[in-house]
Amino acid sequence: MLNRFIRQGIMFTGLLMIGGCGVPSMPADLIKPPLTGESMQHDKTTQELFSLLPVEAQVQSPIQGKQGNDISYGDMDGDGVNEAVVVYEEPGTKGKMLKAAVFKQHNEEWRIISEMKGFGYGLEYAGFPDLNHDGRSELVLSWSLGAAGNGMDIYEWSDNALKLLSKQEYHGKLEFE
Amino acid sequence: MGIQRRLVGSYLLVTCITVLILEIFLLVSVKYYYDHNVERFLMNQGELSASFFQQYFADEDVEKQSERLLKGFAHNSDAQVQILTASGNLLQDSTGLQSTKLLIQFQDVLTASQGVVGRWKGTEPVTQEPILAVSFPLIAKDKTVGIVRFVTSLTETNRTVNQISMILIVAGMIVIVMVTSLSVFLSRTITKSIKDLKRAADRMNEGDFSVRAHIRYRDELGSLAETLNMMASKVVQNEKLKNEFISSVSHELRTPLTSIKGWVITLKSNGGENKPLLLEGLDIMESESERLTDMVDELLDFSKLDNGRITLQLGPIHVSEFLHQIGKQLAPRAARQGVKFEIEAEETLPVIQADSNRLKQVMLNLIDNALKFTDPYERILIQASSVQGGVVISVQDTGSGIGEEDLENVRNKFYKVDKHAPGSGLGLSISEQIVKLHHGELRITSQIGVGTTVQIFLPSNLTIS
Repeated sequence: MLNRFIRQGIMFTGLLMIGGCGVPSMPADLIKPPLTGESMQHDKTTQELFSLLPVEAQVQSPIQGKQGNDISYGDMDGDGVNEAVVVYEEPGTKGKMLKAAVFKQHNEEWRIISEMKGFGYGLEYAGFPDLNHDGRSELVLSWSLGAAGNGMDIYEWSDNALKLLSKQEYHGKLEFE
Repeated sequence: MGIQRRLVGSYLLVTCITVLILEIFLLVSVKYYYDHNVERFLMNQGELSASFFQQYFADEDVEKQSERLLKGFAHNSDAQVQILTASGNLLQDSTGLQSTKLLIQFQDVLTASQGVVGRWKGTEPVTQEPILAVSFPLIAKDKTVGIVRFVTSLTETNRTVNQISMILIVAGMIVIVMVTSLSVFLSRTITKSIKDLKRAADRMNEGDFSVRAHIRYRDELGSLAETLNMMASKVVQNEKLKNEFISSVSHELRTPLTSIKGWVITLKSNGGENKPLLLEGLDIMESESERLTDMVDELLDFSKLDNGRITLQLGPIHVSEFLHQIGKQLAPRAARQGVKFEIEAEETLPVIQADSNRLKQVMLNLIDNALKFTDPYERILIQASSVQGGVVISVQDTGSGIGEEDLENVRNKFYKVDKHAPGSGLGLSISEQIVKLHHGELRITSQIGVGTTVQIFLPSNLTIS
């Protein structure tokens, strides 16, 4: 008699562990880089910014640009204090979702002022170049769809909010004049 | 069907049902897990591709950029990727084949051409391969300009699901086999005891009461075996008592008969001439016949009491008067034996309903026993006192007393402390039966060397239906 209960118990626990609630993750979804000593020792600002992101967020490094350069800084509103942008991946109900978060500093304290949805397979470029040479930086986010090309979003700061200037495709490497 | 087969059968049934339910649940789960995830993967890919197109590539004509789009859409997908015009004509295919088939006949393409995500699962008409296809509309300026279609073969998926199912089914069968063999072993612990019991009972049925059932465990079957063993030993004991009784009664009957026969022979040879001898002989023959009659009466009484065929002739009895009458009758014998014989009875005792002849028989028997075991200069005391609901009469002697072991058996019929003593061994048993018929109680206390007390409780308001 006893062995049957034990067997059922093991199977039930096993099922709960495998099953949990809802559909279990695909093995491919479970691959994540391990925590490294380096990533633990970010500077204070990086830690502060990352702590504002959702718990399950995976920060994305741009394909173009230096390795480990996850955060870009630039002054968009011309007040002499840099804003920051971080692109991350968040597991959603329908697979992973790319998102970009823009931070602004208020009295030494960082706050998320805007969040944008991303597209494609990954981040190509994120930065604050001054495209129209007005002394204030614009935000450029570039998404990649492999060999099909890339999509570029350009935002500017006006009326205390981020405004989408243009959305366009391009091929090859991004060049700013 | 034997108990072991029934036990193993029910174990097997329960195990099979349990395993079956679990198997069904697991098989359905595995099938769902694979199908759902394959579909989800294609859906993700399709959604990503379609939304990127809508955001950045919508300005250019689909047909012109189709080759480039295909490279991007198929970037990290092992599925077959197709780009179609809005009407369902194939523009690009990642397998490189230029099919001339009309793809619009597929349900998913048809749905997507109307601007809604389409999904179709079925059999490829030519190769008969099971496939899953999802189609996403490519939208430019709120208009469907093309379709991207992801197609995967389900052969591998089905094969994997079947493989896992086989493993699960085999595991289930192994579990059933293991549990069944274990249950055979476990059921043996029960059936062994029962088989032992049956063997012992069969032997007893054949008349062999020396056999004893083996007690394996201290459980219900163990106590059953114990009861059976006890029963067998009682049968043996009763058998022994019966044999002893027959031999002792035969002996008892024979003694007066021998005496009578001896006198008959004596008188026959020379009784005619010797008048005093003749009279003496006849006297002895008379008293011996009386002894015989008494003994046979006792046996008859006992047989009647044992069968419950005796009825009481109830009448009012003044206990004090009744006891003094008996005292008068027995005083000469006590005086002859030199035993002090006293009666203490209050005059105020209640009148009880009883059969006076039977009660007298009980009292005579008890006092007779007391006289038998009491030496000269000792004392026999008859007391009567009133208690709640009736009267207690006690016969107390300072005789030899009865041992503890004998005290337990002394009420049993045929039991005699001294096996060679005269008497049938029925007296006390008959007395107890009579007291019980009066709804009373007979109690014996005794201590070796100190004496014996027999107490009889008789209820005062007796009515017998």
